[in-house]
Amino acid sequence: MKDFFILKLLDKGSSIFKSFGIDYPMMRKILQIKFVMDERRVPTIMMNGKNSESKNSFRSSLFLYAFMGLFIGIFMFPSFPLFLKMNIVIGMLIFMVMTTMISDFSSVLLDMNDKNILLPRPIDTRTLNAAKLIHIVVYLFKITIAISGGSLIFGLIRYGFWFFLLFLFEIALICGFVILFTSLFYYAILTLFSGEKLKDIINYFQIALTIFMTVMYQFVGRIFNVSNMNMSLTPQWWNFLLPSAWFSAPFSLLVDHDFSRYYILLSLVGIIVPIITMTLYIKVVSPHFERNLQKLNGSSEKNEMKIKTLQQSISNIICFNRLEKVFFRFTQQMLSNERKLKLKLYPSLAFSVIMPFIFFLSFFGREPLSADTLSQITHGKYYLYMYLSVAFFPSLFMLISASENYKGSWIYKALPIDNPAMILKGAFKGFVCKYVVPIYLVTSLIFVIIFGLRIVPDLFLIFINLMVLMLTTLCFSKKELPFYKDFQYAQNSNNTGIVFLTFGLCGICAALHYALLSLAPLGIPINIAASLIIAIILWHFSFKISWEDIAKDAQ
Amino acid sequence: MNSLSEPVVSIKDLRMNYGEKQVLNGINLEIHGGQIIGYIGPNGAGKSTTVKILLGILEGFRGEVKVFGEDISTGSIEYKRRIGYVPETAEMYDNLTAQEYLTFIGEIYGMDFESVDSKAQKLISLFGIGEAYTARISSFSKGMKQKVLIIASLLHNPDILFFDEPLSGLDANSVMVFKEIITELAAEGKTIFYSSHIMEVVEKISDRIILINAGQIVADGTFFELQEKCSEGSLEDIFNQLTGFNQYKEIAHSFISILKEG
Repeated sequence: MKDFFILKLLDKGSSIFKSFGIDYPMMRKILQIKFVMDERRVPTIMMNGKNSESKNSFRSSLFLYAFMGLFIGIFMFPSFPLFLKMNIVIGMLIFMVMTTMISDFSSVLLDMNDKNILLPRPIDTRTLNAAKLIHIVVYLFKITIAISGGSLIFGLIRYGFWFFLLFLFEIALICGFVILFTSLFYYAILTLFSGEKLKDIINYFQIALTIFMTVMYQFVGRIFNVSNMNMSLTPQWWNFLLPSAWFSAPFSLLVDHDFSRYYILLSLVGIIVPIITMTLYIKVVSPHFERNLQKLNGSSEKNEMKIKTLQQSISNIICFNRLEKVFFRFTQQMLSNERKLKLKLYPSLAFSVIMPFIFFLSFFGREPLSADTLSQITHGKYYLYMYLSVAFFPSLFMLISASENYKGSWIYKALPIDNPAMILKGAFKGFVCKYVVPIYLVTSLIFVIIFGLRIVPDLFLIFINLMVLMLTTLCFSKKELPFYKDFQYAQNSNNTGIVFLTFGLCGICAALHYALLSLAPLGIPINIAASLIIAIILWHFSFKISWEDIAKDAQ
Repeated sequence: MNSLSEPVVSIKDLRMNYGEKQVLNGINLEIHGGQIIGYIGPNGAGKSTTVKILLGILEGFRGEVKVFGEDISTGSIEYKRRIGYVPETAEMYDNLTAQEYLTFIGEIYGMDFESVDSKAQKLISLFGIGEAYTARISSFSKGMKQKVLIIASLLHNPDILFFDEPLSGLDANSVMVFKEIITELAAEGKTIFYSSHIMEVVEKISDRIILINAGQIVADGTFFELQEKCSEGSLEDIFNQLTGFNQYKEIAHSFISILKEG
């Protein structure tokens, strides 16, 4: 079996593991098996072979992270105060690591598959946990290095070797802190709740955490007053609640030689908190985590299917084909029960609601709201920020090709379905009705409250543009049946290109919308008509698919 | 012969619930070495739950469970070195090859790679799928997977074996081989905990049959003892009687008539 470089690296520290009471050779074996399996993530149904694909897609997502990392790294050069710089860089770092942790690695942390295989064997829980943890750490560390690569190199150039070394150390600390912090939280939830409710709570918790991260990030910029040109720092008590501040403070000590009490205290917090997290993890969480995880298994809840539901009547209105109607309903029912999928969907959905308001905040939140700025907002064109919300939706539809119950997808082949387009149409409409429309309505409502009824035609236009974007994405992405593949294959799949494409297109739509606003009163109706025509044309092209296309794309 | 010695498994007043649902309602059981125990019961009676508790997969039960005289709730893993398990659903790391999986499992039990490897290869050849040894498990048929699971449960020569529907997917020839294997293992003094829905097999191979229903043991004894007690012919009939089920004909009849409805 392949001996991985990373395992050889771990061998060097084997005595550390042993001192924690971990059976190192056992842990190494489990990890080796896990890495071998990760390399072999094979698309499951309708295809054979092609093992290298998923590995490449993980690599390519690493390249993308590295690319983003370069941009973050540029912050190293301008002459901001170092503390602000590091806060921005580290804040982004924590943010990205945390969100990947929640969306991609929670499934590893809360994995139940190992149980029947490994628990009857003589492996103690501590070793099993350590293996699980390291498995996550290795991947997360690769991602973190990719994201921070730019800042590391630019930092090396600008501030020298010691800075580089300290930064590297801080990155390791951040990684560990994020993982342990998430596990601690999961543990608390696992202890407090049980059964079906537990799974829901975990879901909500993940969403909440993602939102929290976003909001927290907004505070990073506010450590400073940028009001007049020279940025000044006024230490405030809540700075101590920001992890990015803890991890940035040591740089002020090292590079600026600023040994004020503020920085020393922050640096101390940055060391003490991870240590506390780690001790809590080792002493409390690690021995009991698996046991509580078991709670995720047992459940007995009855859901009665109501025949005359709103869902049913909607499907009668918007679906014209019997098969389409069936898959409309099927998609909605699957979506409400697929937790793993919700885990990936909901944070993005929450983002899409929050995003426009974050931009409001960052533009207007700096000074206290005066009547002047208020009327400036309500009479301006700032409602075009709605496009920030819209940009999130198109790529989300691609997610529904994955499912926990992907093995059930043999039905697509076994059932007498001659036109797979009906499946996709039903799924598409189902998805739009279940998530896109309600969330769009909520955001719209808030916008109408802020900007008044005058923006209703614009909101209508934005919705049509949203449909255009979703259909374009569908055109360019693989033709995939809903719920047909395993998550481990979908986890790192290469959607990033398409995501960027939709963001770009969304920008173009917004620009057009903005340009046509000046052509009042005819601009908006023209735009609506144009977008509507494009949407209708796209609708006809996006769903021209056959079983052959699907088989081809599945490979 | 072992009946005077300490039992290999002893369960006292075992209770378990999932949320509000009581799954095990006070199971009392003592099992001695060298027996094949047929563990039967209707769906949802608590068979798998009992087995999973014994294996240390499920925690949070009440009552006392001892394996080899050791209380398993202490979290000790030592007893696990001497047990083997074939789960009901074929859960394996099936991205691995049979060779990788089996050597991995063997190494967990502390065997060295070379010896597990040669042992596993010989065993899998005896099951007639030697050529698949280096192929991915995901490409295996159900029966082939089952063979790998059976080998994985036996590699380390355990003293207690838990088989949960071990014959599923096996062809008739392999079934005969497997039955012979467990009979010989029992003769060597190993304990076999055999859980299945196929009554004919349980009737033939078990030294002792335990029937549980709604989380309680409702019958415990040799097949002949059960026959006498219930004055029924086959284990199937005994099963029907003890689980209070006697209207299979009526149910089948209504089933067919509903199928015929518009």
